Amino acid sequence: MADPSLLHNDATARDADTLTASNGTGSLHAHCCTSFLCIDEALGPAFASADSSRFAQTSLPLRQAPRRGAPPQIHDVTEKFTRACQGKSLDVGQLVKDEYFTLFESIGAIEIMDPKMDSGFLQPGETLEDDFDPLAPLLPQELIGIMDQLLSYEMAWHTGYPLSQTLFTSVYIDRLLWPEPKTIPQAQFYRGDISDDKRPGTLLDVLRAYCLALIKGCDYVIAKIMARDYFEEEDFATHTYNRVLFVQVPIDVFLRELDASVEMVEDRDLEIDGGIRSAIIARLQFRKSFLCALDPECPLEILSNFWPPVLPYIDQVNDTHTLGKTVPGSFSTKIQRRLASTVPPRPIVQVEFNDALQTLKQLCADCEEATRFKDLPTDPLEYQSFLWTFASRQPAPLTYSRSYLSNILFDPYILNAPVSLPLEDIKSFVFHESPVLDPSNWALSPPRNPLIPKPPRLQFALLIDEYVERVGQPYLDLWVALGQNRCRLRRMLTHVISAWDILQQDAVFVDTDLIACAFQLNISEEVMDGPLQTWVYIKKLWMIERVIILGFEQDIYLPDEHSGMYYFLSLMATKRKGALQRCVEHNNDRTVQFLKGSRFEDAQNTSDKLSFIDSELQQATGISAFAKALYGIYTIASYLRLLPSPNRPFSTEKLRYELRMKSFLSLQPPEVPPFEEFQAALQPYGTISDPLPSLYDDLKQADSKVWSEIDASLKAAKDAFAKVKRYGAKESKAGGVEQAWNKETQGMLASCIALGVAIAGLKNAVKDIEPSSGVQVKVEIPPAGADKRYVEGWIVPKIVKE
Amino acid sequence: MDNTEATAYLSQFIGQPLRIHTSDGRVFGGQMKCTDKDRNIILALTYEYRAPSADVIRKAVQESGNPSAPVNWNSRYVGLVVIPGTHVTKIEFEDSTLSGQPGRVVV
Amino acid sequence: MGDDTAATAHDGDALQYVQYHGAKEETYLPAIRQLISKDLSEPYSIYVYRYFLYQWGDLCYMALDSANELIGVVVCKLEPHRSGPFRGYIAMLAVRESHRGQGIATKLVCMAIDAMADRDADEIVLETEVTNQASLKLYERLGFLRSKRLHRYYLNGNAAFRLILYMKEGTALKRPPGMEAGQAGQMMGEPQKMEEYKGFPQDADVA
Repeated sequence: MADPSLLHNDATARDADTLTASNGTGSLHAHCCTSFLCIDEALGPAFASADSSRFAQTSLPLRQAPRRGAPPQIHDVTEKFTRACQGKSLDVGQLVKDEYFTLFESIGAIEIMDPKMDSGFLQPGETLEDDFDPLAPLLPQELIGIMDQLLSYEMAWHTGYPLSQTLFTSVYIDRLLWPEPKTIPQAQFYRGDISDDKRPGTLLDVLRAYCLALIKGCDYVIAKIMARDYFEEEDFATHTYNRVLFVQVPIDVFLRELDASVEMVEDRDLEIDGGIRSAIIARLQFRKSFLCALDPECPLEILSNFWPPVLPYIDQVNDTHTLGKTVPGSFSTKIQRRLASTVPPRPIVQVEFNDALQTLKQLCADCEEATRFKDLPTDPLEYQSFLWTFASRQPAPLTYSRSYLSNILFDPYILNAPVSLPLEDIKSFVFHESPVLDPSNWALSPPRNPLIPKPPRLQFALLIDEYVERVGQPYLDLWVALGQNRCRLRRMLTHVISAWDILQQDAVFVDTDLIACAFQLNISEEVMDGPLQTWVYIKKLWMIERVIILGFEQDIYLPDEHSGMYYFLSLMATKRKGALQRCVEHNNDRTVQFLKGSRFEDAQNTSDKLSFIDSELQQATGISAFAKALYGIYTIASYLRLLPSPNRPFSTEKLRYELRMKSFLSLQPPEVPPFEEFQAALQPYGTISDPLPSLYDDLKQADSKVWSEIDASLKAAKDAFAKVKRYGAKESKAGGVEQAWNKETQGMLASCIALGVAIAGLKNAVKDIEPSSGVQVKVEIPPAGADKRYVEGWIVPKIVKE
Repeated sequence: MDNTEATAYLSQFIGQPLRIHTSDGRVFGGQMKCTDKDRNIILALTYEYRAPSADVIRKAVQESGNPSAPVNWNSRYVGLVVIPGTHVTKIEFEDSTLSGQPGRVVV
Repeated sequence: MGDDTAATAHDGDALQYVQYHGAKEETYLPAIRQLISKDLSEPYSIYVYRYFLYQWGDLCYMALDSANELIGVVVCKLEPHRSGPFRGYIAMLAVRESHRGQGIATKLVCMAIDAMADRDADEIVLETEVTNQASLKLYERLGFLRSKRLHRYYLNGNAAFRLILYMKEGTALKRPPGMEAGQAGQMMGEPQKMEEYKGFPQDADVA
């Protein structure tokens, strides 16, 4: 929706017509300007009259506002309009409407006089405004109470509620912001002149300074979030309802106001209890440190200095919260009635102070963590680990924290690194110590005569430059996706995958050219087969795996779908494992070549780089094997009817398969197994409802093929994750997030152990099974987000005796 | 009025500025988009106007000593609204075309 | 009673299931509004109902008791989705509190699905709050799967699941007529789709 202020034009025709209003005390005539497109919001001059005795009806002369052009004529068409609609005139269901106005648009309309929709609706006897007087003197305890409540609402806003339901319900904030002050001295809890006896006292001045800094902080938050390439409406409400949050005023103005307030409170002439005095000062200091940390102008190098000082003040605020006394009247939902609003009214959000402080602490901790990004080694794989780990933090980082990190990530200092970030990534997998990336290739100049073929080494450089250029956008898209909220991350990854799919097709051609050049130079054995496509493929498969794992994490799959989705995950990870295997082999070949040529240093370098690739290989191996083991146990659980399985009268297996595979169906090379193959994998013993008798024979024998395959997969998974753990975070290019990486790796190992327990439980339960008998166990699926899973995306069933 | 006549009459107001007064004393100014048999009216680009409360007027009068002291009406943007026919107390058409101008709405 | 539309002996009161018709607007629209606005937290104006009922009244089914009182209702639409498939959408479902747990909502949804299938729907979608177990169960029993989680989807801040039921094979690969790969950008200027309009939580029988 366009900014409504654009519709205003306060210099044009003003009409002075008579409107009648009535209220509880009797009716009065008021004369106002209502040429509706021409009124400066809430400031249009209007004339009310009231006789000194109890507002009897009075007619008063109108003051004509200056006019330009012809004044609109006002016609009362009530009677004829009504006649045209009603009676026998219009048919039931007949609409007289603008042909360009669709019913679809109409669903967004707010219904006036419906209390659920109309934010301006007053219940009978309800007044428009509260009679709370923001100039009434405050007790020191009340000052603390108001500050703490403001902080609670600020945090509620951070979690996604609009300002209209949170901070803008404060009468104090409302007074500071409306009517819009032209200068900071004008931003008071009153406007214009005021008699000395009404002038706010010290504590109100202190509250004002606190509120001003709070509002400026909101402005900074909005600026940071809007500065991102991409943010989601569902995450955060940037709407300020036509209020301007001191956008133009620099930070030092607010810091000065806070400093002055600290001085006033410190002043011994102010009679106030010592504990309360320091509680107020702590809140002012908190506000100051927090505002400094939010300052978007803060230079990258010193960002990390700003978050640690906030924390001790938060603790002090927490410790002294009970000193405060709430002032309920100072917050009112009625303020919504004056805010430009195209949405239904919503109640004030209820937030517990403790929850708000937790949110605040989390915000500070996440932002402080984000500042560590700038200390990472210039390595895109370290960046990716950091982004993924940050996005996986629990509780999920708030929109502001995610924006904060992306603002660091997209800082020119990071993006304009001296090395090409995508190329560094490619190099780590397929081009270590490779002649393709030999710097001398970039030093060659093309032959003067364009008819003479370019030297092959120059072609290496040109081919690589061109390809890296093409990779740029999809590469950044992956990073952008990693900065979204968890739900969107999964959806966005499916789009990013499509772009990488095209990159992979491009890579096939570039690889052919690279190999041709290598052949000309007689160094074919020094260049890996299909290097670029191998690299893209590894990245693309990783993303597909993540989409599936995120699906488990978000409870997208129903229990009887688990076997199919873990089967598919295992297939993807197996393919990635194969591609990584080729990288490892190439690396080994290169080492041997260097040794043969007595290039010992190069041999050592190449061999050193093996750790990263092998760690990736072990990771893929672990995922592939563990997913396979889970697929196995869920398949058995399905046959044993231990999973809820709806009868689904409107669906078929094939339709559900198609729905699940939708995002991957068009990928090249084809990643999705054909339906028949998929179904055969999930039903190795025939249909679930009528399995082959051999199922029971196999289940009874703990060393049958079905069980030994599961056992072997689990063992392979354990071994692989243990190897990953031995490599450690740094070798795996996750050194910047070592702690979280260790935790995740440990979580995978713990999941393996839990699955081992489940397998043993199930084996035991079926050791005497007959087709006619059931089993005396049930399967429990640990719920998401309840700390019942070692790693959220890996759902290890629990076998519980009945 | 028969259906053809009624439709023609109401169609004239489509896209035109209307002010709708509601049973609670508010006024909504916006462009008419749609109406029906029940006189439910959809207005687009709408502003809500509300008379100042008696308290506010009393204060203004007290403070200025002037019994016809100017007091602001409250107005705000509310966008696209439906005003149910049962709450419509008055419909005004804001005509800014000159008399005799072609295309003029016949009120 | 004695009416042959009466279902099983378990029904205390014989319910009739009828398709909405525009000619019945004056009788049923106020009742539908009342039933839905009572049950659902998200507010809708009369035009929200008109949007659905004027265009897809034949996809609206009502459960009426013997006194012709409205007990339950399902409201849907069906139109080509910009991504290609002919998509049905279950917008609202409500059953009077006193009559829940009797399968009325399931019956209404089944009738709506059958009607959309008759009209050649490729898929049927809806959103429901992630915490609404009754609603999830109802749809998942019929064959719906969760396709995505939508963060803070409703005005009250709650997340939703998008549920989808494919009706025909080949739906996943459907593209809008005349659209080649890479042309998706042209679709950006389209008006906001219903699915992106905040709202329409599903109420459901308490199973």
